[in-house]
Amino acid sequence: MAKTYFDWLNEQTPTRWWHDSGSPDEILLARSRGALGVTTNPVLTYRTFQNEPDFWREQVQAISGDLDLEPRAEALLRLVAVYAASQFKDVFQASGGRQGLALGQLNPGRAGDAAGMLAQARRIHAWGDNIAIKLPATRSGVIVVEELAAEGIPVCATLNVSVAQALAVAEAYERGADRAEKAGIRPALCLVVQQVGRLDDYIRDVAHDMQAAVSENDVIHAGLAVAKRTYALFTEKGYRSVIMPAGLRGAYHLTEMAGAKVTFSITTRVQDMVLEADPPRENGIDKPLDPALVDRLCQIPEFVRAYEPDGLKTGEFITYGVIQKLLSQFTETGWAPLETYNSSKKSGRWI
Amino acid sequence: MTENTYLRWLSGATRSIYWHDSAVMAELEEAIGNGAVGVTTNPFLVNATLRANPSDWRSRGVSAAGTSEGDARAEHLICQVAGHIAARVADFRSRGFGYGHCCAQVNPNRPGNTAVMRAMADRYAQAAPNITIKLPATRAGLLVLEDCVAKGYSVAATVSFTVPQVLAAAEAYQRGAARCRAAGREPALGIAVLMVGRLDDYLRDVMQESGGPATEEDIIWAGTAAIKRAYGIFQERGYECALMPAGCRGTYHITELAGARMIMSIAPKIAAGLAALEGPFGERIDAPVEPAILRRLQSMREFVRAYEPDGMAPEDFITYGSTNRTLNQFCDNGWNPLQTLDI
Repeated sequence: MAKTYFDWLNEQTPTRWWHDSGSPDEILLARSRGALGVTTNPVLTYRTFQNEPDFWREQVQAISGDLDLEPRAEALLRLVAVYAASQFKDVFQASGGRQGLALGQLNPGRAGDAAGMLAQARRIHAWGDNIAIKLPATRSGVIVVEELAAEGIPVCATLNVSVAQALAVAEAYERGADRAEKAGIRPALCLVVQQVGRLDDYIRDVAHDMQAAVSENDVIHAGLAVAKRTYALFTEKGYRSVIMPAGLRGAYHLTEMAGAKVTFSITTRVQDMVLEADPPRENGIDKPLDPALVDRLCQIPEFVRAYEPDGLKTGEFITYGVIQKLLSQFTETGWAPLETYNSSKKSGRWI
Repeated sequence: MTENTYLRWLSGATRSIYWHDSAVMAELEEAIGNGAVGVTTNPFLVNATLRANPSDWRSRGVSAAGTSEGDARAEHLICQVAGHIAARVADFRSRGFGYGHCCAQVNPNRPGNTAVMRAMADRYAQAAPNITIKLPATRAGLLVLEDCVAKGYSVAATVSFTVPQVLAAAEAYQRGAARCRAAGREPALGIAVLMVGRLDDYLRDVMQESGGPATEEDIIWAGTAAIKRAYGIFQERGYECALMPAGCRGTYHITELAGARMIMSIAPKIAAGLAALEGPFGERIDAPVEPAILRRLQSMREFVRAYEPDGMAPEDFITYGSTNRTLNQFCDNGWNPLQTLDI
């Protein structure tokens, strides 16, 4: 069989990729295509319950109907994370814990609650060795990253769209990993998600609103510009965290970073697009973006905040527009429906 | 029907005007009985009522038939539901300012796109004469708002949480009204929404994250403080459009504003809370928020941006935290499910 673009990545480059959904069939397909892990979250968990109810029914019904809202969401999240992790246990062992994980995401309603997140993270860690704790790159999340790193628990910082957030996570991880090593604990994996497509969507709205002189082609490179800059800084500073580009909207989001020592998160839809496009096997990470394009984007203050290493202060992470949008989305289409899924309990959430 | 003595007092004995905040017809009838004279809907409320009571709406002639899935279907369903409700309250219009309208909101997925919002507003205006077109209080949304007012449409600036947003909305209304009058027409009703509870919700999360001196007891005053301040400025400057408190989280969001010449958007849950209050009732609009509470709130930069008249420039509105979480919610739980709703 002819080698695919994904085969080339795995065999000829340091670039790796994980599958992005909780669907059992899609996970199998992605594994056959070369995926080395699974990114799961509350939205994807809820979606597989909707799309493949038969597969999960027995396990869902075994969960007690008396559980309160948050424990119920947690128990449901656990089903999908544990299943996804079980499909990659061999990869986890063979790679020494660098690949072959699934993710257990914390309650997005606790994005500003470090103590609450830490307690939930420790519960989720007990689900399995190859489940990383997914948590927001907020000020509180960054505090939790350091603590988990110190305990040797793998983490994945999400809700991250800016260079400043990525640097804050990476620095917290370095502090935590150093503490772990001093205590004789082997530091675990730290992934730093860069939500490239989500930043593009936000910058598009802002650019339209302020009538900035940027083209659609400029806009769809905003997330990439941030990811490339983050990667260069991580390399320069020797950070051990691994960047995870996510929210890809087309093959270009992959090919422009190909050759980088990063781990992508890719949906089946974008996997299909990549296989269909069958792009040239070329290193993309060393090719800088057109400086004129970046200059045009820099007319947009919200882009500058995402692009400059000091564009956002730690306390501002939670206030950045896309972060609020993503927190709302994880809650509305993921966590909140899970809280009441297959249950008679009612949510008291305000609309 | 539950007799709501508070709402009857508020709507009957003060200058405050009561609008019902849901798209459920049975709830609307009860609200009208208690003095409601207009209705606020949004994509979330339309989606919720169509999914909860599909047969009721089918019997009222609402159908997705003939529309393809996508934005066209969402818009069609919103027009039908809002048009139906607008017909129910149309008779109240003769009673004067602030009476007899129903809101219909434009696509929350395009808050920066003037062309999309302008075209949609033109179509909504055709749906019924007493539709109030809800536009986001972004820079782009307010440009469209001004044009709508100039054309004689009734408008409401929503996705609005802050003093600078409602001031910008009021000024856009004034400019549009002047253009309307210059063309020999009388401008229609204008509303500047301030989503008091949603400002509180956002600031609560920011406070938890930053660990400032403000407490939960302070946070629940944030939206109230913002709208009281805006009201003072509206009166001082003589703005014609009405402030509208919305997204209330407790009876305090209404009782603290009682007596103001505002149009108050009150959901059934809040109405039920107000019904439990015992008289005598009093006007509270002129009672200031306690200075110590304000001082603690002012330690939060995000509150200052919301509270100071120049806390944000119009191009900042679309970047504000509350704006983004609210737009997302209107998309995820409103407009987007309406795109594929089969009824």
